[in-house]
Amino acid sequence: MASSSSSSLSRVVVKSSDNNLFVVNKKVASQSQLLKQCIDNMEEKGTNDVILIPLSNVTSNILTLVLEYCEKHADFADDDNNNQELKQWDHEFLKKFDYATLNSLTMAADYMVTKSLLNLCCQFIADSIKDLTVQQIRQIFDIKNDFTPQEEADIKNENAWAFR
Amino acid sequence: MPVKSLIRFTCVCKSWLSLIKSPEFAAKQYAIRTMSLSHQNRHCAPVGEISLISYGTLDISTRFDCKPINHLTDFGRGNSWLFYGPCNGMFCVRMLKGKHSTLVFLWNPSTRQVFKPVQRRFRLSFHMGFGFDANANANDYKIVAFNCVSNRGPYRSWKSLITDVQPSSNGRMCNWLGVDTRLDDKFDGDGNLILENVSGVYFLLSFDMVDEVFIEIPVPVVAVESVLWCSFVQQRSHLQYPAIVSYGLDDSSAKGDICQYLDST
Repeated sequence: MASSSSSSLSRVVVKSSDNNLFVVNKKVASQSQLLKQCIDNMEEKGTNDVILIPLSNVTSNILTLVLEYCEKHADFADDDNNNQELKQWDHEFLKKFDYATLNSLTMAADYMVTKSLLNLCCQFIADSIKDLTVQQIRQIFDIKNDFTPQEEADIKNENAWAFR
Repeated sequence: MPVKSLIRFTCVCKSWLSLIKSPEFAAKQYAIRTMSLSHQNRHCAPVGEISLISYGTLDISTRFDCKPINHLTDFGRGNSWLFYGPCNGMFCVRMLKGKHSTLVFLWNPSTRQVFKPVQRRFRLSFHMGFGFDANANANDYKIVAFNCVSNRGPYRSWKSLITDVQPSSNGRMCNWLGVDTRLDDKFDGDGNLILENVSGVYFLLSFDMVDEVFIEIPVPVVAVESVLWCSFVQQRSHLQYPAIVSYGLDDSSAKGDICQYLDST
């Protein structure tokens, strides 16, 4: 059942930054433009071997999550992005994570050019921080306040309505 | 992400402040926001044809809630306000006090910022049109004032009526242009004039903000009455103002409705 005569690959192997290997179905891998590009290039060359794609920026626990997302979305056609069930799944999927994980996931989605996941993460983070106070934002993202008290008061004064 | 949250987050740290205040960020945010809002209200989706964004895409809670600034204190109740636009989320506001005093500024209702251009003296008349336009590359806005100074009837050629074009720039947010047209015809708020030529045919005279020239555009026959009416509405009541959302540039002018009435209440 294996070797078809065409030079079409059915699977790729993806390697995480901590050297774990993941065997990924081609349809699933194609959700990432980065992986898709690699596959297309190899197919053009007519390679039949299983190819190994190293991802030096993505750890295995984050890669697992990206692949879980890709697997789910590979089952839906491209124009199915408004599918209610899928949206619900997306939301439940992201809800489980803390900000640090969400952050890494966003970076990985960007690096692997998985646009729908990137947009999803960004919108999810935006939605969850939009009602937070400045203090809470600094805490969550571990940001140091580099304003002097006077500078901060000036900015608040200028747009007092936004701080009510 | 709502503008209100973004403004609050400007005081998280310096890098957030400079990021959020940058024009590039603002443009991106506006595009995303407009897209998502228009998705929610399909009936008032922005129309791309002449880059006017429907008023309906603005955040309702910030509408017409103007940030008070010192030099506006002269203009209390009982004076007229005219709103033009919006253009890239920005309105051009003209305040009239009595017969002789007028003040023009740009207003961003989402951030509640008011930008005051260098005030130029221009002759004031009741029939005055304003156009304004954004230069996307320079993040610059151009305001054009059409001032009608005479009360003549149908004229022979609009070209001969353009007497004076004086561009001047303050190098900051706005460029001022004065255009003395000597026309006494129907205006809407966006630099378009409805004119009747000697043979009684109506057409639209539109000012091209980029090239700073007037363009003559035929008006669909069915639309003429509604166009005239929309001009009337604007002059009579400031609660409604018209915006031209689409028009045909070819002879057939078959694109239908010229005017959309936008309710400012």
